[in-house]
Amino acid sequence: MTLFAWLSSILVAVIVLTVTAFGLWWERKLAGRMQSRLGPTIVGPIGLFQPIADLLKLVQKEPIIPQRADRALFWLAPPLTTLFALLVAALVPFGPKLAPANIDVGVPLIIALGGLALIPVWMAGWASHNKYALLGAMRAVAQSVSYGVPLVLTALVPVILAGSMNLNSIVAWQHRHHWLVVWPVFLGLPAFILFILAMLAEANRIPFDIPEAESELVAGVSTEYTGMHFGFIYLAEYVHTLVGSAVASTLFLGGWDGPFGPSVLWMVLKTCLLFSVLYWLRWSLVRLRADQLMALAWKWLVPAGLALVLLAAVWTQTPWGR
Amino acid sequence: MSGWTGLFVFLVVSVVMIGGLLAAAWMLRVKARRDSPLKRHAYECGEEPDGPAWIRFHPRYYVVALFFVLFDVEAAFFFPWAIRERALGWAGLGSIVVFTGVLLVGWAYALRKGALKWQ
Amino acid sequence: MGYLLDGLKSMWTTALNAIRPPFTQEFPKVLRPHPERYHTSFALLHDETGDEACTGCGACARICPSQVITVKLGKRESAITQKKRGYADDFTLDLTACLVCELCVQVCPTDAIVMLKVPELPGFRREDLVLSMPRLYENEKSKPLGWSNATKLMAMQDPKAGAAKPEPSKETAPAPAAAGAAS
Repeated sequence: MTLFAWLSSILVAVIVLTVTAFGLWWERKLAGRMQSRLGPTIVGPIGLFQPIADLLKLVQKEPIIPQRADRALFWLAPPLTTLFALLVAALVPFGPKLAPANIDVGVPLIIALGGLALIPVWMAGWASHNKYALLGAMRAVAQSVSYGVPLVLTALVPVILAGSMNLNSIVAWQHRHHWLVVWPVFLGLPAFILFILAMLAEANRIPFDIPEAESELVAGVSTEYTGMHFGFIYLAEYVHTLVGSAVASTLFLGGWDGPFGPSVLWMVLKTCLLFSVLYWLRWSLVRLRADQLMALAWKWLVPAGLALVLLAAVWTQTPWGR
Repeated sequence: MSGWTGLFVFLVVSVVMIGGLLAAAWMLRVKARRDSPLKRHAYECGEEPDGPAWIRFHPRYYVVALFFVLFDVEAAFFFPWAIRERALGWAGLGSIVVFTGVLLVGWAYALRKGALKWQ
Repeated sequence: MGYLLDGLKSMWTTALNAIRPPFTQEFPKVLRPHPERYHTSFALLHDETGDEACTGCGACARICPSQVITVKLGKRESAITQKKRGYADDFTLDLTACLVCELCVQVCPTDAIVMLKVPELPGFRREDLVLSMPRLYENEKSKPLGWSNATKLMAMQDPKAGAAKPEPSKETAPAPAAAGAAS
């Protein structure tokens, strides 16, 4: 059992990091094509080794700590962001057996860990002793906190329908019935879309990227960071998006459930597909203003999430949803 | 119990991986031959940093934090109900509707008062 | 609502772009077709006797607006004609700051310096963009030369000849070697 735990942990961590690294390449390639460019072409065949080159470059950079920064926090924050983002991956079942941590309170724990990733972002912003970083961190906290509420509410929909907070049971329920976006479609599809929106906002991705809004805040939290520490913040964002898509596909798209073939493949396929759609959104949409962002969360998504939860509850009481 | 062991194992694996990257970055780092105090200034688009960056903030962030606590606690109450939803039946549904209704009244009040506006 | 519609529109556009072939051409691998008077980079020529044409007079260095040319004058006996004449002992042209104005070509009294039809490839070091004398003479042999030299450029500016020949590019275009065309 322990050996299996070690192996599956290492396997999942490696899968996540590899997919993230090549997700970087894929994003740049996709972004290039969407803007009629080529994307990376030089390093390796069709630029495939670009993330490795980037990593090597980042690793070699000189670490610079700003004069008035809080040194310990400044050093600690970026690795912690990556750690928390990565930790969520432990809870996602990549197969009926391949889940490093098959925990009964999976859904709330995922949301809690995702929320925990906020603290290092705030740490980084505060410790940098830079106004842009602090503003970025402030906005990041306000935004993630606001979108955390619709995130929880929409995650409740599969929990109600499957009657379990264990992610593996939720997938098993979808395996027995339907994928949640397929049926009941009036619950699954809106909940899925809301979840994706809230997840994007939690990960501070475009179109919800006001915390690092390049055109106003330089680079937000990562302004003062150099080298691998900058890389960690960057990596955390990507891991967060990737793991977020994995969670979304687990909760709404049936997770490892597929008509044929190995289940891990289906999970990875769905995650990557969702990941690509998120990049498509990223390179198409413009950034929302801070006030629009908050209005969207509190005036629309929160009541919509509540309505979905109640609707799901009613549906399970009807003869079709029992 | 095994799930938590798995999480712990995963934590150890991630810490080792991230620590490895950090160690690699530390070993391979480039050291500048000459250090310049300018390099360690906070970045303010080329200007001299003006005053400390640890400044006061607009109270709207505080309002958002209050709302978050309110709604997240409420969402936490939803979870235990959610997994027993089918068993609790219409009675459980009725009580949660009342619970949500009270919350929605509060929400509507906040909306009326303009507390949800980001001004 | 407007945001949603516009967002969908822009997503449609990006999706179309993603399946269209990209506009970018990979510069060093694929060279764009250039117009015939396209000029870039430099070469130093040999005259008809096979000797170096540059006399080291330094006119190009003096006229250069960004002062990227350095010429060192040396006097010695020619190995071919046995006459004493000026040579460029050293000739360096720094492309990093070159404006590609072609003034150096225009003022050359011996038609020694000309421009090329193909660009220098981008380099990873600054030295890659500094043309030393050996590289300039190497360019004469290895790369296609541009249409102009001092004689032709000055002829274009001659009020009488210029009025008579409104399209000098037509007659000069097929002779990139630029040796025999001078009248």
